[in-house]
Amino acid sequence: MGYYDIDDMLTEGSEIPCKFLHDIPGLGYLENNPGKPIKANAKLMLPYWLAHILAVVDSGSIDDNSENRMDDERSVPFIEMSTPESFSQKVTNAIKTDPVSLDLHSINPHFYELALKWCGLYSDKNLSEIVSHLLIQRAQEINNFAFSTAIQNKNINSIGSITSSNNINDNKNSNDNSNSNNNNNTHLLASSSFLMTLDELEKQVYKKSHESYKDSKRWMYQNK
Amino acid sequence: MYGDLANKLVIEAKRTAQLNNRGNKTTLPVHNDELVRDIIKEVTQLKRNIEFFKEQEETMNENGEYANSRIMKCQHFVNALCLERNKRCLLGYQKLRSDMLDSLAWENNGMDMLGTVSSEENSNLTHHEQEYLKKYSELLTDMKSGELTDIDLSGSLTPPREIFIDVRVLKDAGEIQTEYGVFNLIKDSQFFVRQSDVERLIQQGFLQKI
Amino acid sequence: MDVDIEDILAELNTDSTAVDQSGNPFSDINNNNNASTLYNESSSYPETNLKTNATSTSIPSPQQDYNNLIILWRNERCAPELLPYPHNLMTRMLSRIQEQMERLEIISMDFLGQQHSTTTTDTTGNNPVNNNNMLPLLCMEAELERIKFVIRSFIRCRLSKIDKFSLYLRQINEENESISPLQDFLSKDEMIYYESHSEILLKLFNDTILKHLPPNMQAINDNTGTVPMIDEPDWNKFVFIKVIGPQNKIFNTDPILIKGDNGKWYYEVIIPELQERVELIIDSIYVMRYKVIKDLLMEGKVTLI
Repeated sequence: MGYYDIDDMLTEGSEIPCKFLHDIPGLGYLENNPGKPIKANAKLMLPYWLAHILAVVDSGSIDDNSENRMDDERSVPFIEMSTPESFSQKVTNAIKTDPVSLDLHSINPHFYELALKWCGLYSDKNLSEIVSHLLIQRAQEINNFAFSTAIQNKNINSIGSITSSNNINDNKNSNDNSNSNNNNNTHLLASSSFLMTLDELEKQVYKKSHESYKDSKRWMYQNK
Repeated sequence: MYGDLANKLVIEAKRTAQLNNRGNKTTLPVHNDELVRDIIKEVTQLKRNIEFFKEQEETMNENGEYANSRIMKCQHFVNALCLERNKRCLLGYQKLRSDMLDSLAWENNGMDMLGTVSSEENSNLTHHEQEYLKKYSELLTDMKSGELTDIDLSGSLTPPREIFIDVRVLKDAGEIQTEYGVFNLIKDSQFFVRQSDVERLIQQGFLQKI
Repeated sequence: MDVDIEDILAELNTDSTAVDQSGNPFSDINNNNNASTLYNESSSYPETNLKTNATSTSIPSPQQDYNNLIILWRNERCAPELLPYPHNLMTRMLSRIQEQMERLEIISMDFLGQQHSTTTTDTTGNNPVNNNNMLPLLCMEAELERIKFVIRSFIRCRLSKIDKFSLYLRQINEENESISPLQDFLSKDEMIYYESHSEILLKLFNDTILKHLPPNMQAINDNTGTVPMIDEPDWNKFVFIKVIGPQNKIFNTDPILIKGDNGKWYYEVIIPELQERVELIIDSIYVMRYKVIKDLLMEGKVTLI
């Protein structure tokens, strides 16, 4: 993913519900109780970058004498991560019913990236199948939007302005633009609302496909 | 909670990247000195914590108390992880900005870098960043004047279409010397010139291609 | 002084790298240079070295160099990693460009001279005969601009990869000191750029961030933490490839080229994740992960598109 990748850092900031498996002194500040130890079975939300290490690293607690630790079955990590809300049953059901109209952004703006990490960690085949199915369905929709916005307008300049107004990074009231075509506006409304539901990965896919359609169109129509 | 400030910094980095993707010209927002300083303070705190834990473990070992259990070391471990996270976020933010500085240098090279940038965007770059920009621009100038002079490394990255183009002057800019003679750049006048000569001027916004 | 259009056209034919009308430059089997692959020029990969024919003394023609340059340019732009620098080819191209520029300047000065002498007697604006004479000059200039553009794009692409993978380059340089030194991968200028840029960037990071960290965390290339700090190229990136086959077009001499039952020649690769054998037939186009075809690419048997 890249050490310096901003999106990766944001993904790792996602919070995961965790349960501590031991009493651990000094970590009270994690649950806003500074100075006190954390009791076993305490449940709290921890950021992924912290949680995924603590959930994997062996705490060597079966025997306090760490030299006696022999087989992996007896290794007990510090915490136990439970499925984050983004991958809960509720969400997976929603994905199965209607992948395209799902508001992925509000579930988790870094849904796919977190799913990748999670599946990598727990080899969760079920989740990975669901997520890849989700991506394929939504990718077709993204492609439709990317393509149709590009051909709506033969005027290359307005494509630029539509792009900038449809730019996901903009606020919600950017639908009125220089083009007075009614058809365009309704379509733009529909596409803007869909675009708002995309997560970060999908946004990149949309951006690249839109720009490539735009470029091909421009190249086809330049008649010099 | 340790790492929260770092999260804020990363979100700001993301916003900077998004803002930058919109425009054509690289614009670097103000460096968030305050946030970075706060994170550094947190880092120093974490450093002190870790040193404290180390000493604690050493004394426990000396006293024969068994301090090797990982449970005891967990807080030390968590502190180290927080440090790593802070390091990564700080570096990510700085790297993003330095990448933008690099683009600035490539876009503006040929123009008086320091003059314009340091006066307009003086407040946006830290002292170290300004120094970096200066050194990088010098590096670029050296690169371009080596054996690759002919090909003008910072020239246009779109394929050339016509050799000669019509351009309109956008701002008054005095006299420009080309091999075909001297052109007097007065606002709204038009010229038919060789593209490679005026490319730099178009980049800088003095001319507009028609 | 009258500049004869015939002279200009003659010049155009001899030293330009204009598109060769005679067809595929690779078809010249007798050319000794077919022994040298695109990347072998710099002989930086002993593993994939098709030994340059020691007796080959002929230099590739401008036409061949140009074609190779375009292929190298495309490869560099599509590949996720930094490819070796074609030292000899670039030296030749750059010197040709310089010669051409000088030549064009002489010709255009002749024109300007001619123009001045005609405008004193001819008050009409554009002398049509004059413009027709200019046409070959314009063509040559256009072509020169195109070549300059290709080289510029090529070098810029490499510089951006050098920036992106500077830590990785340093790592492989340290590991493989004796095998393939970095000097072969990069041109002289690129080496200078790489070293200076790493230095000033490291200084920036040190001064702003790293010096505040505890001593054991101050490294910029520390791979032992939770996230490795050295970014490697994405070997799994999907690329489109076209299968060219051996440079010399003599299929029998290529040890890894296999003749299929239907008479078609192909290379065989295995896709590790699927444990699937794929036949890469000559002149076909495929899309697959970069690491599967990396070796073939280095030998010039496939190109990226």
